Amino acid sequence: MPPAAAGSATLSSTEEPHAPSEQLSSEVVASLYAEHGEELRRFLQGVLRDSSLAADCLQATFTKLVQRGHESREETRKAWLFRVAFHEAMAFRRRAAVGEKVFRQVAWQGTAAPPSVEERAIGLEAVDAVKAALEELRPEEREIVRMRIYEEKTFAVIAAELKIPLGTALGRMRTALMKLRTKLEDKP
Amino acid sequence: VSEFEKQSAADRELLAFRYIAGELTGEELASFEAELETSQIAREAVARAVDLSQAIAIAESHQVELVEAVSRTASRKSWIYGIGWIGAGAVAASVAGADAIPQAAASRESGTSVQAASPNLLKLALWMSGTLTAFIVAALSVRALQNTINAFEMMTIRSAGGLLILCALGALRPSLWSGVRCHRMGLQGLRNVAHFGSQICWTVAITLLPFATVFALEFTIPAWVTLLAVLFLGERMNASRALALALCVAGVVVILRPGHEAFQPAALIMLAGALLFAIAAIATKKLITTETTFSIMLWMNLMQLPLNFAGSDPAFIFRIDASLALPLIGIASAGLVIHYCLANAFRYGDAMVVIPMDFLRVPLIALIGWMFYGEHIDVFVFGGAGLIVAGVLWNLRAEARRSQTLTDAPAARPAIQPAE
Repeated sequence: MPPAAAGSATLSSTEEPHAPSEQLSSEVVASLYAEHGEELRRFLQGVLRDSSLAADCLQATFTKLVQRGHESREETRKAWLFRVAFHEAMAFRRRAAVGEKVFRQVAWQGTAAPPSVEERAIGLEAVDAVKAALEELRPEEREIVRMRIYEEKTFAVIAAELKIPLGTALGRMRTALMKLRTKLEDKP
Repeated sequence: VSEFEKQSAADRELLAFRYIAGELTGEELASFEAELETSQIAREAVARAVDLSQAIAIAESHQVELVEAVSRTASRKSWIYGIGWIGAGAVAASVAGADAIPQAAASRESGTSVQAASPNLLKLALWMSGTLTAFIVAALSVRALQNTINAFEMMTIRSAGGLLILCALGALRPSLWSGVRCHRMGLQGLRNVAHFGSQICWTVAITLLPFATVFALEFTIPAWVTLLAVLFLGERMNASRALALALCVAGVVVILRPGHEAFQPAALIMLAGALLFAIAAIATKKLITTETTFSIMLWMNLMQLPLNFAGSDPAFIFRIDASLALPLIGIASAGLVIHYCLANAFRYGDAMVVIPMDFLRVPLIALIGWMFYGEHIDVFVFGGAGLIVAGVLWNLRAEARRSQTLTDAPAARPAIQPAE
């Protein structure tokens, strides 16, 4: 991980006006990491489309939290973290010559570190839930989801292969995503 | 509220998904990243899209791994069961002698059980284990081959294999050829076309339904025979036959549950197959009075080979590799082994003992389906099969009593057995 990178990102106009004098305690940082770390990592992976860069950027974000988190208000701290993370990601993209190479990599690569037993158990439960949700999609929706996410085909290629308009392919994906979101949110 | 936040949730999800997939146009990308600067809803949509994509990718890869694992397991198991089946066949052959084949085949095809000449539970159990194993090998072979060749192609192999075996038998015993003649060809044709249809139905059903459902529905064959005999052969419908039929119908209803969401239309294919088996069995019963077993079986394979080949890709044989050798042997020879073992079982125990042992096929195949193919153990299939077999046994018992009263002879009544 390059800790030096963390300090170089700036908040510029996004900084919160409220600025208490003391830095956040390690307990608060740990608690924020536990609460938002995973969601932030996924967000960063979506922005950077690279899991190892996302992990580095996440570290930089929390370094920034330690350094300047006390300047943010507690009630908007989640949004503050995401904003910082986004700026860090943009800085990474500009600085690290990530460019097209990163864009070509898929966003859903696994994390660099192997998952723990607990993470794997939770992951398996989630996989089962997703499998069940996928089963409930209409076949044509399931096909689009599979082709786009598992086979990593672009919507243009999918539309051509299935001989359907691009809008139809996007429409099916849109419906499928909403159904999956609804079904997965319904799960306990 | 930004333009992005004014969109519907579904549009936002799709936009976030297209963003992480790198499929936004330059203008859309700039606009969306501007949203990410300010909109927490947009950021969370991105996180959610990544989460969902990862989960789906993992779920799909698990699915592929599972299918591959099942395929590997099935392939391994087909070897294991193939070896088991060959062992059972070898034991059976050593116990009884190969000259029993034509007689055994005839008795089964005609639906007339061989008299239990000398009851011997151990030998009966041995022969029945051979029967059960052969049935299971046939079903597993179909599953092992289903992704490579279709039902017609499997049955082409079976017909060709049957012809080879019969020719080998004819070479060993040239006297068998003397019984082969062009006689009653209309009836031969009816029998063989019905048998052809039933085999295709059975094979297709094995690929579509849980094993246990197929095997349970096979037990309706005696009920169909009874019904057809009453309708077309002028046999009388008495109280015991009516009760047996009612039990079979009840069993079928319990298994199929028409109108219920668990109803599987593919089960109707197996029911049609059972009806066709029954027609073939009745035709065999007529034929066997004038034709030899060898002749009936030879005409069957000769007529069915072109019928099966007509539904096959002429080049299907090139799709088969060495890894499928045992399932192919299973398909080619399981039918004959079933005939052989089942009829020999009837030598050592009458139908009242053999049928309940044959019924063990249902739980046995259900267990195999559950262990290796992830099939559910369905209590309704067991309940329905129990009713059907109860009907068959009730009829057997009543017929045996009637026969004893009329002829004063210990009789094992005709029993048309479920066919493979």
